[in-house]
Amino acid sequence: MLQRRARVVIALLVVITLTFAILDLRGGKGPFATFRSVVGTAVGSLESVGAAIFSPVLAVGGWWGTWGDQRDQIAALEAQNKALSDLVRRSAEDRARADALDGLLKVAGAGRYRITPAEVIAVGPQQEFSWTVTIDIGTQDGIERDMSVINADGLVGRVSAVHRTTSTVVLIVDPSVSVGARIAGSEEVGILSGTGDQNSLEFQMLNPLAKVDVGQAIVTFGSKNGKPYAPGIPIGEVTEVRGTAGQLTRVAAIRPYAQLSALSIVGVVVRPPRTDPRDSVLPARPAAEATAAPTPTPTSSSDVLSATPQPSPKAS
Amino acid sequence: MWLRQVLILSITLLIAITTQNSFLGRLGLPGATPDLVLVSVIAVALAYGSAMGMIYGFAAGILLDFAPSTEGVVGVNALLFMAAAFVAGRAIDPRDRTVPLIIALVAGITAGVILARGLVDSLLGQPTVVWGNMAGLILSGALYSAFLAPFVVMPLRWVVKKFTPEVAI
Repeated sequence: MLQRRARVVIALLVVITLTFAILDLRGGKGPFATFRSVVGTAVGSLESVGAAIFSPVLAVGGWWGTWGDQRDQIAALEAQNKALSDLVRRSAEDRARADALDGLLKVAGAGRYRITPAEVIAVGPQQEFSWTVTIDIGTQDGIERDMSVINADGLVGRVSAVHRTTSTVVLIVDPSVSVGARIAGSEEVGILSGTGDQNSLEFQMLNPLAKVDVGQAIVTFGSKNGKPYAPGIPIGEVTEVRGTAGQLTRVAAIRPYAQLSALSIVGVVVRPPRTDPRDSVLPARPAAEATAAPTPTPTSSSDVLSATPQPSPKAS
Repeated sequence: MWLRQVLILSITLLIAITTQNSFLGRLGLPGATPDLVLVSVIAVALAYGSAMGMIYGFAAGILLDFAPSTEGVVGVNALLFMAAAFVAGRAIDPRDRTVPLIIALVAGITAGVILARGLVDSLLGQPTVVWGNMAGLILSGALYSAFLAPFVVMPLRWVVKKFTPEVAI
């Protein structure tokens, strides 16, 4: 057993401990404030020495410890990067769509067409030799057969079949399509037909003596009630004239304004304008062509300049 | 002889407290912090007997209670360490001590001290005790102490026998 002296010492220590505990529990700053600060300073400085000694060891441990963290961090950053680049790509797409819609709205405003915007969701197979696309609106959006389809650049085609939520559009380059068209700035009309080549249309003029020049614009002539083609929609411009004046038929090659191989946003003309917008929908001519104007024929240049007021005298 | 003993115990205590607070606590091991001071208390009790172990435990506990980074009631650690030293010095007869037995003793006492500290702290109204963690704390604390035991108990016994053979058990 413990020696007598040891027992006394231990009993004394226990009493001291309990006294400390009770004094400390009384709360407030207590009688230990100075003692605590003295011991704290001593042990604290000892601990800072220890910290200096152990820091290199801890750094190694910390390196291993953060290994997993860093892997997690890399994964998180990669995920974030992916999300952000996704966002950027989508925002570019959104901007392109917005631009297309904007152009469409401008065209519709210029021609006073009432349009319903749509998106091309499918393209018909080329090997069937018909040029068709599918758009994502149908009868429930008020689409009917034979409505004109345009985009920001010009005429795209007409609706050939309507389903509940989708419609089929036959493009103007389809060989079976013919469109009544007019040379902008004149009263010369003709029949435009597709050739199956997406960059070229054939324009057959009814008047074999009509004057036609390369670079002149072609717009739709318009059908009864605007079906299948509303009047005044830009189609394309003359790239080549075959045959001489006075020949039985004269044919001009037309390059369509709308890029028919890359359609995204189109508009279906659900109501044509009350009056023919004539040439007002045509895109503004590039500045270079406008300044170098002496060579073109007088008819075309003067008519392009005085294009807009045409319908107003009829209306008033 | 007395001077040597005091010197050995002081150095042991300083090393234990410094290592525990500056190194083991900052390792960020899961569960409890390895209680090197407690292991050193048990080692002293095994080397010098219960009485000297309790005196050492008192000093260690008081120092720990007043040292920075402990916010408990002053005296709790001292009391617990004294109890630990008392049990450690008397649990196993010095002639039956083997390494596995000593490791088991250290682990058991550590578990008891952690549990007792939780009980005393909650009795004294300390709001920091989270009983949900208690099982994990006891298990990890006992495990760490068992790991530390051979590295503390054996060297200390060797030092004690070398420098103060008269009072060594």
